[in-house]
Amino acid sequence: MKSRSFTAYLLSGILLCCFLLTGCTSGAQIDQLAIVMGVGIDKGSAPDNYLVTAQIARPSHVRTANEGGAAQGKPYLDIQQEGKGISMAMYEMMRQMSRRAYLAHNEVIVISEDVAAETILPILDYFIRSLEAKFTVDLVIARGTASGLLAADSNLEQMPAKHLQNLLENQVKNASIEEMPLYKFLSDMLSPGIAPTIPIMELYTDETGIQNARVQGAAVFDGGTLAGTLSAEQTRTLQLVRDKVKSGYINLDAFGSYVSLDITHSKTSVTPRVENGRVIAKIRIRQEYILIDTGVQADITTEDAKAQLERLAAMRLIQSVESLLQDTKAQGLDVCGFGQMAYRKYPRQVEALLETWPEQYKALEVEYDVETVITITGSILRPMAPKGGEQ
Amino acid sequence: MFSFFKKRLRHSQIRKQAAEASRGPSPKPQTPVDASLAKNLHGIKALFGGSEDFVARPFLIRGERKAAICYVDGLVKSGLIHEAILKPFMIDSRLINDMDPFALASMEDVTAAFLVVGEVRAETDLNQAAEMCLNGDVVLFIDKMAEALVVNAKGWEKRAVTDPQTDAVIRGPREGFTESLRTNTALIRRRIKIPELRMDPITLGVRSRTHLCVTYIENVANPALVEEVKRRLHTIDTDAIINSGYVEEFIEDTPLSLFPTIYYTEKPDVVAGKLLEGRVAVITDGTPFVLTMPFLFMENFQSAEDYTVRPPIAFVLRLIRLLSFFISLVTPAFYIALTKYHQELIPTPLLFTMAAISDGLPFPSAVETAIMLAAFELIKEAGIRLPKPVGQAISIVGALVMGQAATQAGLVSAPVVIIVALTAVTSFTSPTVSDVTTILRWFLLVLATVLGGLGITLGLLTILVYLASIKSFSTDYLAPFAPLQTPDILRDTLYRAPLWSMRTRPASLKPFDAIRQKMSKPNFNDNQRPGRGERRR
Repeated sequence: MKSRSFTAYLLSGILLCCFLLTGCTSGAQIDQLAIVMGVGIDKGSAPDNYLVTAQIARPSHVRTANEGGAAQGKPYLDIQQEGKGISMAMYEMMRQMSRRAYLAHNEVIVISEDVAAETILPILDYFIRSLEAKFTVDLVIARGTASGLLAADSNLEQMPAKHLQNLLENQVKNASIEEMPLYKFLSDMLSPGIAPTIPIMELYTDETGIQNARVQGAAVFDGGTLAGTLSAEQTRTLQLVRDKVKSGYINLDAFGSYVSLDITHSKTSVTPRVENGRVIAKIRIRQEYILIDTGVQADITTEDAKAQLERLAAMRLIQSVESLLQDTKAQGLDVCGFGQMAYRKYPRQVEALLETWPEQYKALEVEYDVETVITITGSILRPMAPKGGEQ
Repeated sequence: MFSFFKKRLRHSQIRKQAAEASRGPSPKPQTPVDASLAKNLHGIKALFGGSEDFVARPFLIRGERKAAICYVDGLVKSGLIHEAILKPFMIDSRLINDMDPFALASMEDVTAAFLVVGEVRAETDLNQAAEMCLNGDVVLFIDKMAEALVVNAKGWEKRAVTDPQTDAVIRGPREGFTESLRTNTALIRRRIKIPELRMDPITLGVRSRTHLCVTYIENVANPALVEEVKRRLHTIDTDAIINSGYVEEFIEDTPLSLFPTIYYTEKPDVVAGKLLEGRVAVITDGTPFVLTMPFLFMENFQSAEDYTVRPPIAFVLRLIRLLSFFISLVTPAFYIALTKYHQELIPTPLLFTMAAISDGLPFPSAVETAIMLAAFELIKEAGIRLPKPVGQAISIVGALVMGQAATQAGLVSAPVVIIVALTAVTSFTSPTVSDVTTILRWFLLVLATVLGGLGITLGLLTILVYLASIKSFSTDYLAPFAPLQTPDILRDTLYRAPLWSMRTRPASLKPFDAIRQKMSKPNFNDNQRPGRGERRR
């Protein structure tokens, strides 16, 4: 008995020593890492070749809370390398770097429009397989070159990559577009009945000659290939249908001038049903507004005027959805995901329909139930105007 | 791994015990007290040799019959000897006209007639009488009497009852134990005034002859537990018991463990509380620290203060202590795992800061942390041992030089200083485990350096498995969590329930009488207030 337990302890002791032998293989000190903040992917000189731009932070140049102050110079470094596939480019990049590229803090992957026009699947493959890269990294399609977008002015942030990511995050606030993290793109791409979208950004030069980035609609994908684009107005409607509107505004032409309404509450629900082997979607929208701004000098607090404004707002909502549907139906790209919503509700009936969903989507019938309410008119009732001023 | 050593130790202990048994104890031969005073005095003087502090004072009763008292100077009250022993025999006896000193035939007569002292015993063995002298008694020999009288006149210099140095409380009793066994028993008795409070004496140490006192409450403590404590105490066969730590080391369940399985305290109110929960205390003469057992892991995070503050506050305090234990154990290891293996878990802006700082530092984070931790241990040890005024100087030098200068000189990074400072501060919240965490911290540090987060997980698991495996006087160390005793957990672990709701004693201690009280939630706001009733009438 005694000798057996002794052997057991000896063995476990030796096993423990084996752990020590692993000797920190995967460990690395922070100062041995090149922290990649953004990756840009452009077309290379040959097929299957990519020109990869890695935006690497230079911590000693980054402004931190530390009062010591950062060294002069740009707080980032753009390194470019071409290679067959992303991994080759990343490895070859080490020839120009003293540190290992570390992807875990990557904020954004910028893919140029012409790469997307072919396919982005090999790119995604690299970032999914990587043990380091995170799934929450944001995807961006660049109109023009990806490297150009990564070189855009960093605006209020310290690094262009961070700027691009924060810019995307900020779009949610005016309900114009939503960021598309890697995991969400994959889940949309892999589920039938929804066409994934990725925000598009482009460069523009302002009057002082500075190159700035801005969000400009979204790219719609069919599988891994860019199949169409949405305008900025259409992406806003897309957010509305997806019930992602948290705040925002509506600008109406009424009473010979304009009326701006601030959205205080917005709720959209899509109820699909199956009739005669066809999917019919009922879109129910309820929005509440505050009147924030108007060029109309007359009193618009009367019941009639309010009702008229509410009706106008409802019309505007329906029109925008109709326009979005019309455009996407032509291409057979279900950006709103009606197919998916129907499948979730009636899995058995819709399963067969999903196989030919682009065709089905073209024939999709939509019903509207829109309710719009103006709750208050801000801090004043009538516009400020001197008595008898206007004749 | 620990139990491996434990087993080895047990083997060697058994072997040693067998060797002792074969040698056999050497009992002192009995020397009966002789009828001749001269012979007795000669005998007892021979036992003490020429010791200066041993006093043998012959005198005459009523100027006729020979007698003598023996005592050890310094252990007795001289005034008592003069007033209550010598004076009655030598002077007062002359006042009685018809008294015949030679008629005093037995010690009972002497005790009844002359000794103005409370505690008197007869002794027939000279060796025993000598030992009584050493305990501070006065031995009285009378010529032509084959008996000695042992008179209690104990009175040596004692430290007064003062504030304890450890376990300071804001609200609660301030009395602390002293080095005197009798004072300590009195301090406990004053808190539990029932005859069932037992104080069973044991004398241990072949040469130190130290008095110990096994204290428990009859009909509350489990008799099996009391028996076990006494059995273990009786196995002690050693030269000397100088400190209660000696006793602890001889009788604990896990002699080689880092974790203590016997609790010590300087506060009589804490001991009283533990006794009333069904525990057993061992008081050792010559030390102000009283041992209580069994000791459970959760007791490390309990304090006397918890029972005087309101329950929700006690809960927060205990939460802080438990959290501190965890922080002090894991923080350095966690920091290394983060900086070396899991940089993805550091928020990006913080990563930039840390990367900017670590640019140009000479050592990897593990070495930095090890250096700073070692430096802290040095400062701590130096601070404890040095005289108080110098100790302060050391802390200032330590704090400024180690912290500020090391960072400014670019030897270590500021985060490491913060980590070590946090570790240091948190390690003092639970004094009984602070030594344990000091060592386990290094264990986890090495594991984290080698294996990162996996290493920390493995290390913590090992510790947890070990904690679950050990026992303290056949109570599981992790009780009441493992094995699960839900009422105990709800009553007095992390959350200290209101006192009125603690109807039973902790079940994990298996007390003889489980019922503590029969109370329910006090409610004084009903209509039975005396004022209202009277008015209605």
